[in-house]
Amino acid sequence: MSKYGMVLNLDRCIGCYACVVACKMCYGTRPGVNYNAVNKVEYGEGQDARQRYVLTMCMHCDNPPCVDVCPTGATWKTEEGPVVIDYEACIGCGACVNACPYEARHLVVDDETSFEGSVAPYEEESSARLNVAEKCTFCYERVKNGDQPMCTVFCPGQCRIFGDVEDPESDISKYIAERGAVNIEGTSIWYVVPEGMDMSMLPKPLAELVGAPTETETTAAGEPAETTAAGTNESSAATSAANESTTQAAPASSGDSGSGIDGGMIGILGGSAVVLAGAAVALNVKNKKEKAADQNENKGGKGNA
Amino acid sequence: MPKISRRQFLKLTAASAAGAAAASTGFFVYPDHQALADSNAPEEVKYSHCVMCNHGPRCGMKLIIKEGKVYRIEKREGYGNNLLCAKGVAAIQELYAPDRLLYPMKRTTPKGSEDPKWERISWDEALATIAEKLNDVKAKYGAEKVLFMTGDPKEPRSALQRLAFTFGSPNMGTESSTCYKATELATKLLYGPEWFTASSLATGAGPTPGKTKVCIIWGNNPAWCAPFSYNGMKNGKESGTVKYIVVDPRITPTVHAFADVHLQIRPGTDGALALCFANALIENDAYDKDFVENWTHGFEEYAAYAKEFTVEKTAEICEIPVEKLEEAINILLTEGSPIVCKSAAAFPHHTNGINNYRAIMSLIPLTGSLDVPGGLKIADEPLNFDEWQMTFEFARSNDLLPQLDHLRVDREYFPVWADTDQQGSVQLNRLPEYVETGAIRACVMLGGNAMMWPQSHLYQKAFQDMEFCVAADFYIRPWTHNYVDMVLPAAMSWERSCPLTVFGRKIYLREPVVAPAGEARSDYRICCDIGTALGYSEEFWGGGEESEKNCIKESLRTLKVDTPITYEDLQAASPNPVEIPLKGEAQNKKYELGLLRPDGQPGFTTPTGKVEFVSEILREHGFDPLPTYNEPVLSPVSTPDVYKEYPLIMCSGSRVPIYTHSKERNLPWLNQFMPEPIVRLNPADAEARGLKDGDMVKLSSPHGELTAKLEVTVIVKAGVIDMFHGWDKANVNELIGRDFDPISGFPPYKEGLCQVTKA
Repeated sequence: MSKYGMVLNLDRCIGCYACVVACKMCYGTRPGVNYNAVNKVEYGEGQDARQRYVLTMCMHCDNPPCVDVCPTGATWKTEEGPVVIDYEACIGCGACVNACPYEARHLVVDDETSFEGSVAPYEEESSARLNVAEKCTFCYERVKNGDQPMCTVFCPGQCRIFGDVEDPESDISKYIAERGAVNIEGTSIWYVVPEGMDMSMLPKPLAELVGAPTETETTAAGEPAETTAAGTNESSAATSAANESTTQAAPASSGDSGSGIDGGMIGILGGSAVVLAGAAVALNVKNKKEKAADQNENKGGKGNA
Repeated sequence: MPKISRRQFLKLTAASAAGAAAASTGFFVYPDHQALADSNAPEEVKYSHCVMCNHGPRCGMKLIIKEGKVYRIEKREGYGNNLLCAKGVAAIQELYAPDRLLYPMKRTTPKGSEDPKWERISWDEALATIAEKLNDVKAKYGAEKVLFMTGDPKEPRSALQRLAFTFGSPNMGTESSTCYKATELATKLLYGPEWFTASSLATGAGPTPGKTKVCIIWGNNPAWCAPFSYNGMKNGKESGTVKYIVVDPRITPTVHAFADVHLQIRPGTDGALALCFANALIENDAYDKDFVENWTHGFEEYAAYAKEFTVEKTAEICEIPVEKLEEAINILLTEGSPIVCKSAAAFPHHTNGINNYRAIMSLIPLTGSLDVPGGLKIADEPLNFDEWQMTFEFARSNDLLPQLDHLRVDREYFPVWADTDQQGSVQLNRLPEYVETGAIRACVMLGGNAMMWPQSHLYQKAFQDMEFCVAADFYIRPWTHNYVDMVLPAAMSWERSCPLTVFGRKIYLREPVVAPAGEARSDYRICCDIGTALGYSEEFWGGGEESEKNCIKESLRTLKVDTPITYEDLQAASPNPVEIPLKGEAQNKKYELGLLRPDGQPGFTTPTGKVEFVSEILREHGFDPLPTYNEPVLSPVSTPDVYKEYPLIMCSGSRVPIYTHSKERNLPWLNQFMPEPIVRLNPADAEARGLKDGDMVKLSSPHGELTAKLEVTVIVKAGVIDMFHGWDKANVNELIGRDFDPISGFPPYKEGLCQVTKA
């Protein structure tokens, strides 16, 4: 029995985005579709203030809510742990995107490439897919061949440790023990948290976000995308109001990027030197829903045109 | 994951009929040179390296290729630097960027017109025109009136030197006129003009865990400017034996990764801090008396001057809390030596740049940390590779340059630079004056950038006013190329083999992994082709496709080693290197052994033969010989009236991890993280102005203004702004004055005054 997991050592992370770009290179992902993200957070005052980077990606949940809601069985949890997608079986309904509490899935609906009107060799394969959900798979195919996930390979800070967490002799198991890495309960992700950083800046345990799996199944699968979108507009306004005062979502949210770029990735979570609580995940959820709404709108817009 | 064949792909895209570019055939029309015919084609593996950020030695890459196209980058195992950063990984996106320049182009409208209306021409026509124009200037005014300059990439420097010197012009310059060269110049004033010692020590180095006691990372953020070096440094830090002092106005990732003490200094005042450290070491008898007595010059004068920099006074000048400063001094006093300083090009970007940097680097000899284990090391047994890794003999800076030296265009303005330059690169920062006076009338530019200078428009005009100017580049970059007559398509790193890559004593051959796009040619070939067209067929082997191989062969032929190395040796070893073994043992304290001077005598190549705390070269040129501290030309202290109107300190030119200077803005993988110009402001300063994150703001200085987006962040010091350079629509260098450091001629990118208001 094995369980693949990843440690994200935020104490070593320099916020250089190599992991995001390495992943894009490996999978030729569409513009605005990034399987992982670098979320800037700031805390502390004066010279003790810090800007740090909370790395996020698919959490490869133990009981993934995204899998539960898939109507075609196109996504499943492998026996080693990574949650994967069969793009041929995926019908692009977006249920999994909405069900994921970590904003880790992307519904690819725009037939765009990096440079308009051309397909570069690195995106030949990805540009063949449309109307599918995509996400980090822990580089399942690479890992099966004995390679490391691409984000882990090209990390100048070597702050990503990947391996079998069930094997006590593995590098990752030793690393977790030595560095006191914290598991996000219910997921395959561990964090090494820098001194002074509030734990609330990390993604929340799965159970806190989705409740019991059965409940999730009912809610997410039963709720059409339109309803979610309508509900989001309100919360989006609430978010904007909140931005003015203390905690703050990404300034460039999906609304003004127009390309579905993850707001949390390019912006600052937390803004001014105010210690914030739980912004990363709570706001990511909102952003995700906004994005889903945007994507639906975009889809509609294109159809009408 | 299931693979989708090309046929399925076409079927899918036809069915979806999505996308604005859908043609009448029902699917995208892809340029032939990019599309892959069969995604199941067999894979090939080739090796090259990265030049996206241009540090040396370069990061290695393992490239996975199908049907002659690179489609993935993997880690190059067993190679010195191999942890690619975002820019390195995005090299693949740059290679296939559709706006790459593929053919030679000439302008069809007169210079000064808004649109050059570029027209494709043949290489034959391009080369014939270049030869005619350059030979014409040479006949009428002299060969030295033609300027040869490289920008970024830095790689073609040696080839362009060969071209310039063969043609008869000593006037070859580089972008290092605003970058590394001033750190080297400051080092030469301490240790002597001999290039090898200076280049070994110029930017300092990181610590050797277990041996180094204190590492001062000074105005340097390797986490973002050299991510490849971060992992090793961080491992060293985690070994726990070295104490770190980080001096930086910003709270960078380097600060939180390393600093035992962080001194958040006011930009432009670093020299005062270094003198304060010196004074503390001297007053507490914590300096190396033996080294100082035997190997240094001017100690008494230096010590007397440093005495002025008490903790209290320095804390005030530098805006550092007294207790922080005392904490840092305490580390120096209790940990002892050797120490190392690690720095970069930040300090030369002060109006007092050379002296600030001399004051910093004087701490190395003062603590006896020079060329000892754990200190700053001078490399052993220099090879005759020049700074960009071909030989001096290939570049012809040994045989031709001395006869041309009196024709240098920069000596009148920057005599210290000109007199200590052994590598043959003139200081370019007075280019507008060179052109205005007729000292320069034509230019061959490989990768130049008019935005690199303060008051960039004056440099654009200088290129425009020349009788002829040709540029080679990867793209047409309007902020530079709108002012030239012709542009030539240059091959990228993976499309060429020159120059060599040298890690210490390991020489790697880079073999082209793909054919150049369109009609692009490598810079080395371009130099050989131009040289041949100019009438120097013999010196440039007739140009043509074999040019790069001929250049490498010439470098290897002239490499001074006991056992000659051939091109075939490198090829046989590739992707592994050929290593040149040391003849003897690695040595410490080479100054004691007579290894640093051409005459074999102990000591250094300074006028006194010793490390000069007091520079006799500066004295001879009429400068104060001490590493004096002077306030920035524009500062709250030196110009309080200006400060009233512009109450923020300007700090530009720091690095971001995703762009190199003005490059790479066109790459979506990188551009997504900073799609537009950003001005950074501390929360307190933003609040005081009623500004919030994401607002559009006006940044103004006594020299001009621009509009950019505000980022409110704790990483910048209150009272100081931070702006990344290289945005053609918001060029921060237009806001910087031409108040050059009188010794180096460097512009003050990291000081000055400004204001931020709502746009």
